[in-house]
Amino acid sequence: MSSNFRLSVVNLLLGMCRGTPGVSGALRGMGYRDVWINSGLTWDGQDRSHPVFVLASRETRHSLFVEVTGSPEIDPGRLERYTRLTAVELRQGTRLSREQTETYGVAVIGRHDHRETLRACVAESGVRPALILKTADGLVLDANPFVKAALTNIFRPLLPVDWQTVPLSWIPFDHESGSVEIAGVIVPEVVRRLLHGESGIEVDDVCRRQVLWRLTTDTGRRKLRERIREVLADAASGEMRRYFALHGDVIEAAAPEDGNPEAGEGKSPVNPRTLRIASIRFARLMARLRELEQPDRVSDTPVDQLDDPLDGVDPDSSSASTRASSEGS
Amino acid sequence: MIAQDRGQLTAFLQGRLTGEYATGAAGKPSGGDAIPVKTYLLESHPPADPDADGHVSCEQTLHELLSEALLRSRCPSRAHPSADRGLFTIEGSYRRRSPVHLYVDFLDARFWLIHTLARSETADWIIGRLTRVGTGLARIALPGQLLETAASLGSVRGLITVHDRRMFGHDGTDPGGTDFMSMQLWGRRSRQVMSLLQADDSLNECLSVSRVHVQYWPDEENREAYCIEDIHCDGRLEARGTSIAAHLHLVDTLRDRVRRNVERIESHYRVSSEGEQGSLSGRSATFRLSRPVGDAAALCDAILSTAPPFRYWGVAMTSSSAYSRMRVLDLSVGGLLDFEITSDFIRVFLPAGSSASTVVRLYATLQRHLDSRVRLIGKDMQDVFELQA
Repeated sequence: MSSNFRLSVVNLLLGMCRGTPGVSGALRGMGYRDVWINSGLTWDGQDRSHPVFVLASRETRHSLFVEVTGSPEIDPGRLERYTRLTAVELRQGTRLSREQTETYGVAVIGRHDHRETLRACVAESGVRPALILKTADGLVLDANPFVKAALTNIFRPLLPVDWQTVPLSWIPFDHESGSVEIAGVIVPEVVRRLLHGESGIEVDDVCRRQVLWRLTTDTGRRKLRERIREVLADAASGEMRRYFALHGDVIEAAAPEDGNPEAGEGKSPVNPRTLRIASIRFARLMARLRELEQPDRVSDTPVDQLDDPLDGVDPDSSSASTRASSEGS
Repeated sequence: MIAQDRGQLTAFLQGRLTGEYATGAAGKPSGGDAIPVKTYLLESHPPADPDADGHVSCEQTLHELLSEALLRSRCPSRAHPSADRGLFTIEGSYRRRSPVHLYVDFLDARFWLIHTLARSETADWIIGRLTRVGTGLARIALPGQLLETAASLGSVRGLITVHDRRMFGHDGTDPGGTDFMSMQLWGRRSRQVMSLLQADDSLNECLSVSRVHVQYWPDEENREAYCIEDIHCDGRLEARGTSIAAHLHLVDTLRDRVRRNVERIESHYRVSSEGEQGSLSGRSATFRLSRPVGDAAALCDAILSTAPPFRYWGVAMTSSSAYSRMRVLDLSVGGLLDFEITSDFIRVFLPAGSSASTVVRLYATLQRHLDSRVRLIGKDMQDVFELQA
């Protein structure tokens, strides 16, 4: 499971709504589909860095606004904003239909460890949100049943979830994700474009290609862009410097100066001959980022003691890739 | 011969296929040995910019491909246009002594055909250079089901299976498990024999069809006009027989099926977001394995080796024996793919802009190197592949 609790739960719910094999199809069976609201609702003074995630069903004529929190408490304002919502505002300001907004409610999804504090938050809230808790075995409805009994029954006594294998790639990362998850997605994209001879790639263009870009709010986009740029800058000034550089907000293929053996001769530094070594360097980048995120993690070999990838590695030998994999694991 | 147009090319290939063609200055009928016609089914990617003239883009791609250093030194070539749109002749000199001609047809800007009479070794080498890593051209992979449905268009004369999972080593969980098996069945009853073998589970797990040999005639009323076709899993077809029209018809039919599946997967499974208000579209696809792989991290390492058969580039974001997750760059097709590997299944997500051929190629590779009974399923456990005409 991802360290980003919110995104893990959203990805799980997406899988449940979209018939992904390996997760429960109960929500999908009731007609629930994912709807994103990134604008159109006026919620002054609230944190708008995440879009509103809604499960909406024409069949049950019901929408469920989902608030996921990995914290022990939830900001009461986040819940109270729903008390001011009207069906008319929902129909006019969002893509929700008349059928989907006939009835609506709110669900808070949090960790079982935070049960007591979340219960207190939910009890104080005027919207009486359903409280769903993540346990080791799945999701449990802990307080405030839904108006739709069939929906309540999905989470009672337990909606079984194998947390080890939940889908995480619908939305691979957001601005709260760790650098490993962002680099793991962004770097192959950049390498792909460099391999095909592109250079002068705008950071904004990389951002626009992310699934979350159009789903999230303006604030979310700004934060997402900051994180993507930060990770790209780290990669470009570190392990991937022989392949690309970040000049302002533009990614350029690395130049042949400074004794860069992988650039020059009028070809991209990312080419079939350099891909294996690039893979090792990428593995080193990921290992370093992982170590920064999990300093307590016991590593067989500290990152700074890993061999230099250029020492004694034949780019045409498959051993290079084996090393890349072991470093990355 | 430099092709002037499609009609002339078809007549030329027909003569060489049957060994009946005009020779000499007087042009009197004589002939020679019949020469098999080879056709390569390829995909140009990314698809031509819809706002640009697709054929101009293909022509540029072709000229760029021919300018590659090793190809220039070992087989200097140039492309000759024809009077017909989308038809070019590559005229080359293999090892600077053997003349060679390849006829490139990109009337379909995405799925190209290259016909040639050159020897297999020569043609394969040149096609290998044209489709090398980093170019805009890739070979098509045909999973077993597509090969078998192609075979069912005509009368099966042979089936060749190759299953090779030695790259994964022997995990020891199944002492009777097979690491490698190759088999050739020849004759009209080869499909019947194959069905008998497939009925045995222990054999079926290593029966991966990699080539079919089929006699095909497009017109039931005229069975004299036929081709005997070898269809390979890498999109190479080799024809003998009496009718180039039969060969071209089979090639077109197969290309249509490949295109339909690729476009269907792209339209339903590409994960993307659209619109100012933001809506998510797409589905995940899951390769359901017939037996557990044991260690997801080991499979992840094999997939990320950048070497054949998988040829993926990337590093796992999460890797353990139970679950591995990564985004990879498919070095063969050039697109991206998100993987989630568990011991029982492999879940994939096709990012926006990536060709679905990367999913099709993965399917074919898994069948031949991991699990011949692997199924590709989409939402609500439905098969992703559509095989009917």
